[in-house]
Amino acid sequence: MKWLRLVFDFVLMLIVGLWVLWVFWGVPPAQAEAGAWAQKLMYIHVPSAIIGYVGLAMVAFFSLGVLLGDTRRWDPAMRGSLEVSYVFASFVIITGPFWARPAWGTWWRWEPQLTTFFIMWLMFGGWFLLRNVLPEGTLRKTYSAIYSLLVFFNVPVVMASAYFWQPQVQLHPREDRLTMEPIMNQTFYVSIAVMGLIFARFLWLSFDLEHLKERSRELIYEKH
Amino acid sequence: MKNIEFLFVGFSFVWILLLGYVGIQHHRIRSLEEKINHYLDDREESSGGEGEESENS
Repeated sequence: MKWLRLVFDFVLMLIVGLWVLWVFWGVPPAQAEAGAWAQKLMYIHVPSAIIGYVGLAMVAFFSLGVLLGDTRRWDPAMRGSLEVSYVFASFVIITGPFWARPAWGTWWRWEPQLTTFFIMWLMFGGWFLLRNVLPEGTLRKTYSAIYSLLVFFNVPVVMASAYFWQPQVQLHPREDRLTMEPIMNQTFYVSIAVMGLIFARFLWLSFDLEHLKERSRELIYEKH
Repeated sequence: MKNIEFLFVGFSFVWILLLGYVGIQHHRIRSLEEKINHYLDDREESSGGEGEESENS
């Protein structure tokens, strides 16, 4: 198993390295209104958001498993996938302002998509707080599963926020009105794949950790 | 700041978070593995010691 990890890591590092080189020097920068060079942050920003949403869908699936099925089996998967999804949501929050400043002339504005995403990200962080505050036991697992579902319900709100509110208050463009050069489009899809691979590796690490935590818990119970 | 500098700074922050997260996870995994192995070794030793004692008696 260890050699498989090494091979995966080596291939992943190679792919990520080539991808970074391509994003910097292969794909052309956008026009000045889109942020010129800074627009290239889109290849992290948007794919991270998409992968984060996929991650949250997984969290919701595992949460349902906790609520309806075997709690002990699904809880580690829920914890692991939630943590990794949070890292990806943080990528979105970090890269956004660095693209917004040159493109929109502001680091941040309380426009619909930014606000709804920020609320989701805060709620996401609240999960860890809740988890640490509640005493260990089935109730903690149940409450955190319910809370995970609440966080997930933000995803459709964030996605629809560019359509819900009036165009005058929007800064994010609507997806159906976006046009990109073919090379940018292709790079964008490759970026989603690269981010997906990074997500898969993180998930693997996270599940390994959760498995070890369960093992240590079992040993503690055996002792008492 | 020039547009390309925004790109560099944005990328660097993501890079730091990415490497930091991998580093923390590896550290957490290694320390838990060590603790578990240490505990299992101790348990084996103590059970082995008990076995010897009972054999001697």
